[in-house]
Amino acid sequence: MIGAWPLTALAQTTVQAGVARPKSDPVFSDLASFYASLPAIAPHPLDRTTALQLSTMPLSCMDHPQPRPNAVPYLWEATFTPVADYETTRAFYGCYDWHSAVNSAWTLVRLLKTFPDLPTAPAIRQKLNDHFSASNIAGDLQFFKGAGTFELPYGYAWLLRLQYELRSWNDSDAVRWAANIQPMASYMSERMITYLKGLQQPVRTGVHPNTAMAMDNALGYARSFDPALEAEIRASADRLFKRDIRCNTAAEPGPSDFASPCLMEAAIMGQLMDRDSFLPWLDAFLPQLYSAEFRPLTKGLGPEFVKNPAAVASKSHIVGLAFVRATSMGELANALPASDPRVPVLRRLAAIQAATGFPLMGAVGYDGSHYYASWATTYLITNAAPSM
Amino acid sequence: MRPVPSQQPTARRDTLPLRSDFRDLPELLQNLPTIAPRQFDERLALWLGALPLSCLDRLQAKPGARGSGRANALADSMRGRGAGAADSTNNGPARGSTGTPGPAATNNGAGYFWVASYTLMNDHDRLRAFWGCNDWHSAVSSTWAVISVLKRYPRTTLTDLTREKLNAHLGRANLEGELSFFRATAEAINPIPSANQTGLFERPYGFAWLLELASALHTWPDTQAKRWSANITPLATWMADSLGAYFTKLVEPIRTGAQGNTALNMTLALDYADVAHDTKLRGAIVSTARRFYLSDSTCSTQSERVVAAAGGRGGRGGGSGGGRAANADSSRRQPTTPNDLTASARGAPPPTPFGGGGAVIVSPCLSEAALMSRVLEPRAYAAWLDRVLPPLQSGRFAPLTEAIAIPTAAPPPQQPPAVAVAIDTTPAGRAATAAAAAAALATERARLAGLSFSRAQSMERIARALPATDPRVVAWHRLSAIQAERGFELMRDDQAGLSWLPAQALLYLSAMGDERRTVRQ
Repeated sequence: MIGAWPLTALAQTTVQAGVARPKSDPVFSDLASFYASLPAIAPHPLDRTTALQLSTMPLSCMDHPQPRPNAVPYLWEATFTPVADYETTRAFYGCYDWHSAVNSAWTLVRLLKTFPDLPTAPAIRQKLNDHFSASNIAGDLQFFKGAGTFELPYGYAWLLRLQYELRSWNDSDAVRWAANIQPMASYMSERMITYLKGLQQPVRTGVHPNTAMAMDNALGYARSFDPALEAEIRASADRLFKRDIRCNTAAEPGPSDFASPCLMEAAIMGQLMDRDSFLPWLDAFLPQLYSAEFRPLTKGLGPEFVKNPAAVASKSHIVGLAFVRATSMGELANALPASDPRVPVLRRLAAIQAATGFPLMGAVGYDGSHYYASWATTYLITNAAPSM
Repeated sequence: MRPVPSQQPTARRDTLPLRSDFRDLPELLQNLPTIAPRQFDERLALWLGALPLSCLDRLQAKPGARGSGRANALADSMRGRGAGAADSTNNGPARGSTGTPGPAATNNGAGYFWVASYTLMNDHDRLRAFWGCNDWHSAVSSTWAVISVLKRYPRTTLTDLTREKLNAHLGRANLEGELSFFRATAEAINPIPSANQTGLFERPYGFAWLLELASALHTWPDTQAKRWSANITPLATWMADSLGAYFTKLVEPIRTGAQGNTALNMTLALDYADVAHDTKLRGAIVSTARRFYLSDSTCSTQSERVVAAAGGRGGRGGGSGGGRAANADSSRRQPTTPNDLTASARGAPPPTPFGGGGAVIVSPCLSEAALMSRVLEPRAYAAWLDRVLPPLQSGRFAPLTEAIAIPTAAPPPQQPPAVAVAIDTTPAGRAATAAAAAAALATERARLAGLSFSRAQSMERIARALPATDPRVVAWHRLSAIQAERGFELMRDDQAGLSWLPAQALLYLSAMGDERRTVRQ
């Protein structure tokens, strides 16, 4: 897989620039000199070739069953068998875990929507048809009604994002799939509303339960199809985030983070607040892009990850981090006025992040390939369009 | 370090007003019932020793069975909200469910694709030591309980039976089997964090109890005990290392009132570190405890009130979802005040979803105060205590001066089931409903007994750490006796509590009787 990506050479340049960087990072006093210091990496385009490459990852994992639980028994030895008739009573049993199966399905839908004539298009449609049948979705919904807080909020938000993509697609297959999925989307939206209402404080970790990330993933669906959910997201963001100042960038990234809590909060607020109140909020919340305080949010993969495949495997989240950060940076750029001098800087920083991620997409095997394509695609569409 | 005002769980918005302040300590003492501490006599010892003997050989329930074994065995096994912050207490390995998940949701997605069926391992009685008493940590604490009784009363009618059971469970092969199980479990943890990953089985609570057990064996001059102690040492050493690493890596303490409570586990582990002269573990605990708790102020004792079941949710601290650990979102601030995330991170770690208010089986405020009694010198400790706990005579402290009311009904479930269940009005259905209500009440009573003992134990530890001349010492002893007495009143010889309550009672009695070892800087 490495080498297949046109940006590999550029990315390696970045990494080597990282090696050569002196121990103490240079200090910048303004945005222009900081921008001039950045490697001139152009954003990766979302073209047909890229779409084809990205689609093969979810296509190849949708039917790869979740791993058998591998815990060591203390007293009772377990024998695991798949649920009977899982092919007709479960929808998202591949791609390592439930939410990754959902975001893989989203990736296929999104890429097919953008490039309807991909050579893999018939295979994608067949796969989605198999997984999105009425009985598969009904089985999933029944399971979730008895599954407590399993996959809430991360998986729930991804399911809503998938449903947004289907319902906003003028395609006869998609109309049928969306009709099948709607009962589950409605159920998950209601649960999400209750969940957000009950939060006394946001989850600010850089992993799955992060509150800003759940809001962001669910926002498209909420805006277009679910006013009650949109109202709750707005109310919760107001209550939980609006008073925040001086995000603690020094704490990032956490040891297993695949997302930046500071950037994600800024990105969701950029989408929710009107511009006149967002700009001062952002100034109080994030340090200047050129400041030393901002640097933890841009620190990329060290060369040690590239040289040591084992390190990458155990830190697969760090590759995900590159794409998720790049997405947040793109969303933030989208939220700023087009003339704002921070826009090109954020786009460049996003491109640099993504350029470290692309060449490593295949490097850790299934540990990464079951979800990287989703975040890479998310980054590419965030960066391409002024608004999603 | 400067005190951080919002360090503690915030107050529950309680509808019941707290009583007003008493003028001073003498007035408080006048108004407290005069209850003398329970004597650890032979009669009590026989009671507390007999109960755990009855569960040591009762196999832990097969995972995933309906209701996971006995419905009334829940009390000690309930997970504290947010205890997933760190490692698991009772989320056993290979947990799964058979068939369609029932109303008891597992939250971990078990049964979505892989359905587990279970068979008992071969030679469990030869290759495992702690396979009875409902769950691993209860088996360990019950083993500790029978040892604790035997050490105090070496020649009673229970002696031979106790030694027979200990011999069967603490053999060399049994403990080697335990160690290889834990090693394999630790190695099997996926290095890639996943959304529903749980931590290392039984760390921290079970590990802390194992260390308490090892220290009891270590300090017992007895021929057989020396052999058992030698057998358990490799496991204890391994767990001490693992638990020390766990404490050191914690970003912030778990302040829930359940088994995951960091202060509670540190206190148990310190007992071991002292007698085993494990300076590495002791150093890890002392420095982490200082990092977490030294700059605390004003613990929310008022949120630890236990309200009778009819009046609400008892002492579980109400509220849902979000944690109330150290954070910058304290409700004490005006909603318009800027919420400075960087400043809040300086005195306290960044907020997380974990934490929680009231006490489930442990008082968060008292367990922290008990731990710090081992970490600070008496005078520094007295000053720290003044800052962290409200004055004993104040209304805010009143919930901890009262014995917990004896419940007459089980509290309603915290979350109604997602799918409404029709009420079964047939005679059989009514009988089942009544049995379930009785079991729930027994569980609630056991929980409150455990909480009473745990409060009493912490209070004893606090009393013994203050300078002897401190006027509060008398009051703390009295409060401790009040709590413990209610614990004994609430304790019944039923399945709901016999696997874990005797150990809690004995932990209190040993705090009262022992010369406490302390850690000094």
